[in-house]
Amino acid sequence: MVRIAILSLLLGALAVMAGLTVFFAPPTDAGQAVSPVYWNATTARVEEGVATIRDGEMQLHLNERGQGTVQLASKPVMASAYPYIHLSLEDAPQDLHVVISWNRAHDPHSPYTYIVENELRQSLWLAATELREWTGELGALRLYFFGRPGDIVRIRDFSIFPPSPARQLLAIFSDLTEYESWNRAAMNSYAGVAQVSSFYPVALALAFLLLSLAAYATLLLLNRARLRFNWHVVGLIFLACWISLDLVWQNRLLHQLADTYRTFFGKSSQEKLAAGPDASLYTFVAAAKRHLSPRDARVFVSSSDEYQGQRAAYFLYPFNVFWPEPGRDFPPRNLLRSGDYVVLVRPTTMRFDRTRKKLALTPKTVIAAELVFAGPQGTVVRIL
Amino acid sequence: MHMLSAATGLALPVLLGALWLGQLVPVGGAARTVLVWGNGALLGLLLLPQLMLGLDGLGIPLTFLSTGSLATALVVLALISRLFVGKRENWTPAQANRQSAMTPLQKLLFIFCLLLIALRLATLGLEILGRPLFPWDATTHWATKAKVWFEYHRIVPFVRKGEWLALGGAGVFTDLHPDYPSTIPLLQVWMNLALGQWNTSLMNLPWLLCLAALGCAFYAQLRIAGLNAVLAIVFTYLLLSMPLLNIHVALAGYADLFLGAAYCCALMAFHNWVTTRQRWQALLALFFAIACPLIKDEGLIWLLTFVPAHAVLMMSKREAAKLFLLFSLLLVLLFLVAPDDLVIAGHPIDHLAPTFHAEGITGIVQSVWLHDNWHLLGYLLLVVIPLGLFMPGAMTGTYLEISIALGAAVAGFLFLFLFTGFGVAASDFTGVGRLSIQLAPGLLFLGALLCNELLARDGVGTRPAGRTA
Repeated sequence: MVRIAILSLLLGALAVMAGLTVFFAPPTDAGQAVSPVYWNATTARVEEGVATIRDGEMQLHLNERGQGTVQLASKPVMASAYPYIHLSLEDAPQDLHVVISWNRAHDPHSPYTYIVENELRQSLWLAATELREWTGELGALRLYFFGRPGDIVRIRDFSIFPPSPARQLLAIFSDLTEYESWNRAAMNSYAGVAQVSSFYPVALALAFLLLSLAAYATLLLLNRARLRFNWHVVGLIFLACWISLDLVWQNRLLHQLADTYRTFFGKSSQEKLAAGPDASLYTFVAAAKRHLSPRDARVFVSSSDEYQGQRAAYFLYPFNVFWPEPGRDFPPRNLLRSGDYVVLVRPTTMRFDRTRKKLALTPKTVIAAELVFAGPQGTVVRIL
Repeated sequence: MHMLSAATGLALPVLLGALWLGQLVPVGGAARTVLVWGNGALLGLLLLPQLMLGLDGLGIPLTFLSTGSLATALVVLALISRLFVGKRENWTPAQANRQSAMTPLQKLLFIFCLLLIALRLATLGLEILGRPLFPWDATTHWATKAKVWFEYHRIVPFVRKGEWLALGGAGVFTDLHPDYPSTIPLLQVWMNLALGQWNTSLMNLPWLLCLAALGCAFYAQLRIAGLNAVLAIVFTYLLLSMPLLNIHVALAGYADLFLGAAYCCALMAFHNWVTTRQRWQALLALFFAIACPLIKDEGLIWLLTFVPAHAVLMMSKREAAKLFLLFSLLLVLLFLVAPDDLVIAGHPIDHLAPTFHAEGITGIVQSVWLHDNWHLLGYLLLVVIPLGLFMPGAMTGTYLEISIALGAAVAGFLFLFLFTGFGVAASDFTGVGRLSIQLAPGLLFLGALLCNELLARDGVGTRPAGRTA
């Protein structure tokens, strides 16, 4: 039973790989035979930042704005002939943002960009055909880096490749092992793909399952005399496909865990908040709260940015916080009273004039208020 | 020190639930220990906030001392009563489903699944320990209440914005959903009371415990339902590995996981009560079903799904069909005559008025069958439910009641996303996944029962436990 299940799975896996490389290979123009455009001392050009090249690896020092740009220089090439991009960065800084940019040869001033979502960039194979506007004749291909001033980015490879079955499988492997840290939408849905992934992992696992079952059926047909249909084999095949899908998920969870520990390990509750995704907002609110009293003081929050406003409101509890629901107006003037605090979180439509001690709730509604605290994220005023 | 306090905060509700449940569950059944501690842990986690509610109602401040003393007293009472109440065994051999010897291969598979489960729980647990409270709704209407109640040591009322403004905020607070049930915020309050400070990471540990407890209860109830240990652990692994369920542990702070766990535990106990007629299963089902609306508003709908299931159990199919027809007509009438400001399960009725939203279909299909929210659960159900319908006496017999309850829940789910203003929450994936969390564990339980039935009818494996006369 186990042997036949394993054999079916192996045949299924082979069939999936064959199907992906034969039926889902990127289309190529007939008769086109092109060579890869490799990243090397001749093709690599630095446009922003300072670079040194050693052993085929470029060390790029980001400039004083924390930016760096390199170009893969080549004569114009047809996008359809190069459906794969290989990017390899060694020990990339944690907060580094990487953007791939390209333009068409006939229109060099209209660049197209893709923000590399995958945070694992040691050897990343991208299916460029999934990039919108990766069409026509390509002019320049660039890599933009956004990090901290002085950060060093070690670029081992930034090349483009023509189609091949191995690259197709490598691109799918990169998709399956991609990692993006948690974001706001994580609670609602987990698609399992990045923007440029070629296949949904569930679709791949389903194909693996169906083709393994087909292999099992074929084996049954070929060995009618010795084998009998067994639901347990079906169950084992199903379980193996589930586990293969789950290993992809476990891999992502482990990367997230490493990321979480890099950011928060050994920190207290407050330090974690000050290091987390809302660090600057939390730091502002934590400092502002020290100026608020009594503990049941009414605190109104104003912000045009729903996320910033809501998060600030949350950090302000257990004060008696009022944050207008999204899309709702700030309470009218007559409902505010002396001693109330108003926290203006940027961006906000309200204006506070500290010299005239006036808070403009709207351009026409102005009330007397005094400054309590000001920080880069906003201002806290008390109504007089 | 913090870890010790957190362990105390977790241990008390677990002991409270498990020791009292242990009084009810007779000895000798399959996986009894796992059943008692799994269901007991969840029971305790849901019961403790109700005790806090009671203390607050009596005007007693919510402190670690007051709440902890009450919980400890109840734990001690449970221990004392164990001394006076003898052990009872009322399992029939079929119900007991004691473990038959596993082959080496089965043992290997059992241990492998157990290791995968342990790895997942360890990963999620470490993520909780490291990460501060993060998700959106957690900071708009769950932890907001917890922060205030923790600060004031009492359940200060939360009111709608308009009322807050009218009252000038005197003695009242407000947030985005002031009328949501208090169970989840009180659980957070309890953890912080145990920790002696507001800790944005450790207060989320009950979410990990909830998942582990659900896994234990799931395994044990499957064993009682007649599955062998290997099949039961395999399905438990399938349950605990589902990504969206995992995300709601790693990014703890929402109520959906608790609601999904409570509804699933209610369904499992209900099914096993129907098949074994053991009263403690009925009590367990009743407790978890009633707990549903105490966790989140839509829990009321899940509670109501037991009404048709119970009706089928209590009356003939013809009578039940008449009752459903009458009920449907009443629903239509309700929509026609009800005032616009009537609120059902936290939602105004005009928002629930039926209009077809085609965009909801794409959202549901993508969420269940294309996205990796549930791994391959959607496909498993696509196969086993039709097979279950074709198997004589399966979904129309042994599993009729749980199928009716889940069918009603799925119908409610589809109605919500296809025929009400919530259609947009399916197309943009903001609601469909989270509501699925509340149903997926129960649906997987039904899937496991049907798979077992399939294997049993093939002459391999154990036959599901039959109804007692």
